[in-house]
Amino acid sequence: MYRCIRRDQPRLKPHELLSLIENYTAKYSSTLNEVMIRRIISMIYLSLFNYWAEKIYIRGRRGEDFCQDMFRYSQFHREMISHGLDHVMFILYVYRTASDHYILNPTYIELKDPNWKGIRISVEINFNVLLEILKLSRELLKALDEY
Amino acid sequence: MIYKTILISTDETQKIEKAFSSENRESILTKSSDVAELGSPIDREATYIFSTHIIYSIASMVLSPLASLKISLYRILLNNTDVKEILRRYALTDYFEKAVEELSDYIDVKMLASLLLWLEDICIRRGYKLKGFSLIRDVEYNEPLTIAVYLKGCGLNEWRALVKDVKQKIKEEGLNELAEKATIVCIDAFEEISRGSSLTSFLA
Repeated sequence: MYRCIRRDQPRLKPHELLSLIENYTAKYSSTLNEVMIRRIISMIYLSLFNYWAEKIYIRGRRGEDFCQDMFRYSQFHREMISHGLDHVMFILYVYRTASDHYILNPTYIELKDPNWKGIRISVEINFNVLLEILKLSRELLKALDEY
Repeated sequence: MIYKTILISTDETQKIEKAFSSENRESILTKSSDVAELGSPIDREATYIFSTHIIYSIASMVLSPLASLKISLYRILLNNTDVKEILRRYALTDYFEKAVEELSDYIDVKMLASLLLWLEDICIRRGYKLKGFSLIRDVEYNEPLTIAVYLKGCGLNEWRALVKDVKQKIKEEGLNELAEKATIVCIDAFEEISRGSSLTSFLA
């Protein structure tokens, strides 16, 4: 028999994960290769997304699928940019997309709908970018803590 | 000479009239009309036509730089402005009719047009350029993610400051849908991020 176990206490706080990544990158920057940087960027984005989704679930909002615990990136994006975090959300989305879906590095990303032309953004996945992503993640995390 | 037309409320009319010195006055052409049925907060509408160097050097000092989003929307609604013409100026597409039809399913296009007009004013004041907008679809769910409004000439710090002001004002004016669906993007910031030049203070 299927049943969904509701959650009323947060278990997906990404604070320790971010601290761990920050400490690791500070100590072992020279050991980080492109695969590791890509995975870390993706992990950061998804951990923040999970944290947001869990927060709104606990507050009583419901998502999709059998347990109504599946939320979409577009909802996450909308809610965060309405708080003036356009820069954080767009940069994280672009680099997370590049990390997970694009093979070349550097590459160009032109996010768009088929009927529209986008702006071609030059994207390079490197250590400096990772540091920037960490900095922006802290900005987003602060907003999520207060959310 | 380039002229710029803006619509401002009664309070702001008084402020701006006070601020202009007599020698500047002849550069201003004014025309006003009563639009009492609009109700608060705009009980009178005035159209001022200034040369841009006057409006931006003086008006920006006395008016809130973010004072006119709703006014821009009122202007579109009152004057039956052709919203499509405004969108056409900024839309990044080769299939305009189809693209706008698709856009209408996602957002109130009048609201979006008012944002574009208002944002262009802000960009001129701050020295940025509004390059255009396009609809972005999420690469995984293939559903609309956001409307990206692209600006040139601003770095990451300017981007942060701009969106804070702009989104706060949009929400104050009750246009929450707009705050949620339009993402302001400073494209020059990406070059800065790749170089790591925005990290100086972070690494120190």
